[in-house]
Amino acid sequence: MMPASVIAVLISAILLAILGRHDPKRLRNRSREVATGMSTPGLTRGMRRLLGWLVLVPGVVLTVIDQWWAFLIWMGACCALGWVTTHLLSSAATAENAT
Amino acid sequence: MFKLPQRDTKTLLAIHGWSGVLLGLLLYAVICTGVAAVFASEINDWASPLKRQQASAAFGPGLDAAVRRLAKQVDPQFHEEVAIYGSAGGRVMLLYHRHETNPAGKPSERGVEFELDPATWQTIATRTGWLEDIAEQRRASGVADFLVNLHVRLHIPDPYGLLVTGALGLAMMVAAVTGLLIHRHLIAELFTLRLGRDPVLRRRDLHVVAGTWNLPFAFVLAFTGSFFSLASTVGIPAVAMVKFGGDQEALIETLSGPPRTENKQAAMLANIDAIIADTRTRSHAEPNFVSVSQYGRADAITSTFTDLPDDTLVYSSYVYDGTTGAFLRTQPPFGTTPSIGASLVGLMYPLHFGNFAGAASKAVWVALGFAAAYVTLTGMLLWTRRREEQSAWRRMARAVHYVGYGLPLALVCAPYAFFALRDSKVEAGTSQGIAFLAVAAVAAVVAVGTGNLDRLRRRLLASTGIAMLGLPLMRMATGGLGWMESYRAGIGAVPAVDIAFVVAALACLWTALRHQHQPSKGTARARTNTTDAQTT
Repeated sequence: MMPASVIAVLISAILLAILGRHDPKRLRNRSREVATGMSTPGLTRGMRRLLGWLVLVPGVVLTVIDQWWAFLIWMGACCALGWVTTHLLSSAATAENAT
Repeated sequence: MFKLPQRDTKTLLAIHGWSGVLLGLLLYAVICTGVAAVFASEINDWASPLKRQQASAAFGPGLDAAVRRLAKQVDPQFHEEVAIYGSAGGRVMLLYHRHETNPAGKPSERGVEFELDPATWQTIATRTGWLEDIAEQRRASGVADFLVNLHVRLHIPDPYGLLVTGALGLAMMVAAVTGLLIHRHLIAELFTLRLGRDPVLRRRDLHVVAGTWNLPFAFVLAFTGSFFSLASTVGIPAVAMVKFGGDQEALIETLSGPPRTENKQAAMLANIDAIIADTRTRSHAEPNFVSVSQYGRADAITSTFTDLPDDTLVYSSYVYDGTTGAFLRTQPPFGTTPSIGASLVGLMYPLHFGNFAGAASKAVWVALGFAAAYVTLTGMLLWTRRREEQSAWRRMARAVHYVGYGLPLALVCAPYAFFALRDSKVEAGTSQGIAFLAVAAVAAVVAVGTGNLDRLRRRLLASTGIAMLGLPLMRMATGGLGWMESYRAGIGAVPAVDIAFVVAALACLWTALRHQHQPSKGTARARTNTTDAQTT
């Protein structure tokens, strides 16, 4: 059960980090980067949608193979990690702007 | 996400804000204590470990002999039921009791509780009286009991405390649902957090982002919490009134199955060790609660409850003939036969407590609980700061800072009194309650005397960090186990909780002392964009 949770959380966390890093609204708000032409390239709308659905795939797999403990841990961890990822990306951007 | 007419959105925003701001301070207290209570058993093992190797199983061999030996020492009237359960540091509790109406006219239990060392089965402590009095005398589980009592009923007497926390859960659900409806760009703004911008915009983003990520669990925790608070205070009496003419015992009998035909003849009790072993085989899990009703009689029944088995989210209990030890039936959490309703009721427990997969699930639930507390606090700060032109809301903003940062400080200081007075006759709840109120009073003076709210926040956070750093030292200074001793005894909870306190302390100190971000170039532009409509 635990290995399944860890793998599922890892996959979704990586995808969430990619989504967050290339999030267009977040990038628009990094005014300094845009001004200096150092902006992180955004993803196409289709790619973002694909990644968004792929984030959910590990959870779907866990329910299909009847791993409900792992599913709950995955879901909770994704919510917590998504929040933390947003903070980390924004803190990094704010620190860059301050320098 | 949902495109509602502007008037509806404004109405929902008002409901969202007022439901939060009116009950938010109490809700915040319930959530904060709930976060800590997720690790209640670990906190108890940390605060009151037994100074020897912990048993691998909660109920090891020799329990049966202990039950029989102690049964001879208590008044036979208390043989009506024997409850056996684990407590702090692996202690085993045996409560011989009978069901009566207490002096306040409410159904309760009266009897004798023995606290046993599971390695030797020797009695550590004995307590007698009504269940409420026995609970107050318990010392080993005092730290977590204080937190759990605050979480469950805010230390308000039943049923009022449960009604209050039930209402708070409903308010949290209202806030979660209205928050979902008024946030038009739920998905588009998942990663939008403008920390360097205008303070109001920053606060708005901090609240919205945390709320969005936490939304599913905020609803789940609020719903299950309300269920637990209101089921016994409103649900059962209401159903009993409608269906059983107010007879709650009849309702409970219907749900748990008819009792055995009464037979008062004396009979030998079946071996409890053997029943526990059989439960382990059937459930593939460790029993954590055993109940023997009508001990010593021919109509005795033994019921066992277990931790959740691997990959199972709904628990079952196992019912045995108390005299022969024969297995009678598996009992679902609700009713006598498996059903969707029973599964849903059973599901409430792991969803609320997060204890279904050990430390991993508990850690995730703590993170989600912390996020819920953060959402509540940032929501109240946002609401009051937006109205700070009015003096009443300025005072409210100060109250929010006081509770938001003072409550964790008071909670962390309460165990100091537990450790300092653990060998005295003062009850653990009383000593911690006095310490909690004393620190809350000092924090109130500081809150009134500190003009700048940011400085108040930093002072309270720094104090909380220092208090957290000192707690492991206080524990050790008052006779608690050192790390080497606990390592030799295999008690992982002691260093784990100590380290958790140190990490949390450093986080508090870092947050309190770090450089405050100055508003960046985009402030002016952001200010013009900051309107209530943005919240939607």
